[in-house]
Amino acid sequence: MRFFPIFLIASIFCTQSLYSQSIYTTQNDSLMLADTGYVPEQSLVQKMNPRKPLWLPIVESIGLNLALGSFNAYIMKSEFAQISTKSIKHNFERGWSTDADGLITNMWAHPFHGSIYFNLARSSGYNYWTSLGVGAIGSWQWEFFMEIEPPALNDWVMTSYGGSMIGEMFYRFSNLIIDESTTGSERFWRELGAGVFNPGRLFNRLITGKTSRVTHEKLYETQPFVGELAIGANNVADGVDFKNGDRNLMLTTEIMYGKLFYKNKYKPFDYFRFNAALNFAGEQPVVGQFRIVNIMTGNSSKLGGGRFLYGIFGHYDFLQNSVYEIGSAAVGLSAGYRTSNKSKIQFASLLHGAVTLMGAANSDYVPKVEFLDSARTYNMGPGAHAKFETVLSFPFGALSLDYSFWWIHTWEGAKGDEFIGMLAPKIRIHLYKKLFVGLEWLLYHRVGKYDDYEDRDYRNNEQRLSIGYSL
Amino acid sequence: MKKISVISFLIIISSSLFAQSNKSETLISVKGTTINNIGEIKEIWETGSAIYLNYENLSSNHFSYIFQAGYINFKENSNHNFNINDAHFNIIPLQVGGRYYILLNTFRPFLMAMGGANIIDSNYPILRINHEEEEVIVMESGTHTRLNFQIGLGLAIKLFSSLQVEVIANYNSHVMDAPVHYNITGFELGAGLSWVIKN
Repeated sequence: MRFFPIFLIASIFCTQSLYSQSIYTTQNDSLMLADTGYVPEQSLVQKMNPRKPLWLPIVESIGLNLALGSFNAYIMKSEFAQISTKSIKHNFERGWSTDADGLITNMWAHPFHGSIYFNLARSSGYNYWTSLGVGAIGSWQWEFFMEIEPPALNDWVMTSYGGSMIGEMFYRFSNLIIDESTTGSERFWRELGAGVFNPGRLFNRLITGKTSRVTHEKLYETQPFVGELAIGANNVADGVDFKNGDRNLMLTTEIMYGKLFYKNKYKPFDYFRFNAALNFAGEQPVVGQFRIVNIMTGNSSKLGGGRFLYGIFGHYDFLQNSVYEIGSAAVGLSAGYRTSNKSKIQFASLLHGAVTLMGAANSDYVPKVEFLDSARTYNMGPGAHAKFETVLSFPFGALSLDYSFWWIHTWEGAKGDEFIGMLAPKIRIHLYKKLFVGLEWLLYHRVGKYDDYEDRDYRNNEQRLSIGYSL
Repeated sequence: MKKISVISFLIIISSSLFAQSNKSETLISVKGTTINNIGEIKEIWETGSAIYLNYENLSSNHFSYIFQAGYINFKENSNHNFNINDAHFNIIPLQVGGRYYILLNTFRPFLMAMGGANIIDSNYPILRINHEEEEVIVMESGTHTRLNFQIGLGLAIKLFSSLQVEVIANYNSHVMDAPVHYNITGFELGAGLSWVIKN
């Protein structure tokens, strides 16, 4: 019984796969699927899910902060949560600073926290941008009022903007799971399954009685998606050879939601690509990779036999293993092209250039921070991000090549600049129906140029072998 | 005096008849403010004055976006003496942001948030702790670009279809360098005039 939610989520994904097939098969890749998305009529939405006043999600966000702050202060007895009027006054006098939490807290957990604020607004009937604003208010209130540490600008950026990216992705996932025509145990598990992705939305659905409402009206937007789930092994080597590495069991997933190149105009998250990798049974951290790239706005049109696209894209990256650690939230311009979907061999490519609002990378030189439970092992600051994605798909598989580059100018840490690149060629060969085998190689290079220390230049690599199922 | 009050009252009331528009508006505003710093910066730069010019586009959904540029001049704390002739601390803020108008009648209370870059021109000595944890006096001189953040609230009063006055109260948290152990934090009060250039 306890596995039922997992089966339910898996079954929903599989149902979608009836028309979505694999990302990289010739006939049916997500980029050129027929428009099978569903967008409900606004009049129906207004009738069944009228928009709540804007103060409500703001008050809910502050209420969440007060509840979490009380838990930290009185149950966990955390030092940072022992606030007073004096600490609040000091925070206003000090203004924005940075904090010294670990990479996973600052660059991964904070965006998850922000996704709750975001979805309190999103599930109250607001669009992406207004919900991002509510998330920013919730995070600001936390930073200035709920901690004795000075308000951290890096936390605010990652919680607000990073939170909006994870939040909108979870909102779209929960749309796929919620089905208000169902009843009984199926309904229970659907609501719970959606709530796992989206606790803010679950809270609002509970207090407004939507979790028990039965209607056959389709009220939530859905878009087709394709994806894959793979299990395999990786070897993280401290160098460019294949020896002396740390071997792990690895679970990976990749989801492409929406139809890039198909529509003429886009709104936020009409398309996104999500990658995640979890490590087990080795020395590597459990969360190895969590990346989102999404469209914010854009246009596409015919160009020759294919389609051309340009727009503004968002980028959220969190990557870590024993060799490298990267966290980044960025936004910028992108352009892409894909060939006609009529030929057996197809090609699609995207080029991104973005401003990094906040980035972090591990470094040999991180000045020690004497404040509370400092865990910072990385340099942090704004910068730039570039990404190149390309895929060549053919009847029996696909070949993809991704390159990501981050430049992080140290704002807090060892003064200087971090330049990080990651090349990731990958081949997938179809074995039987939706089963495939994948082989991926990641070459990672990092150059650190410092004002006060000796420069650094590293190269490392990782190999991944997996067997997977196309959703 | 009574007559003036009655006329002013009538202008405000009558203006509300045409102020209920649901159309979007584009406004150009000029405002002046005074700044009272708080925290450690107050010990050296206590007060400031600023002038801003902004472009605002207000839509019928109560949200507006704003582009703003200005000039801020800070005054030295009277208890402080730099002992140099040309000590100064001036900022050109370049900001983008938005307002949420709670009401869109004659009286328009709003919440606002702005952010952007400060082009800081400064020249003054400051006590710092160096890498060896020694106190040293260094000159905070030259031109630097740093982040600025501002949140606040205000009230705009639409006197005529093309003219409104507004008062604002902001909290500033402008970022300095990490080695400087203070930011430019303070409260800003001001008033301005706005012209509706497009309805």
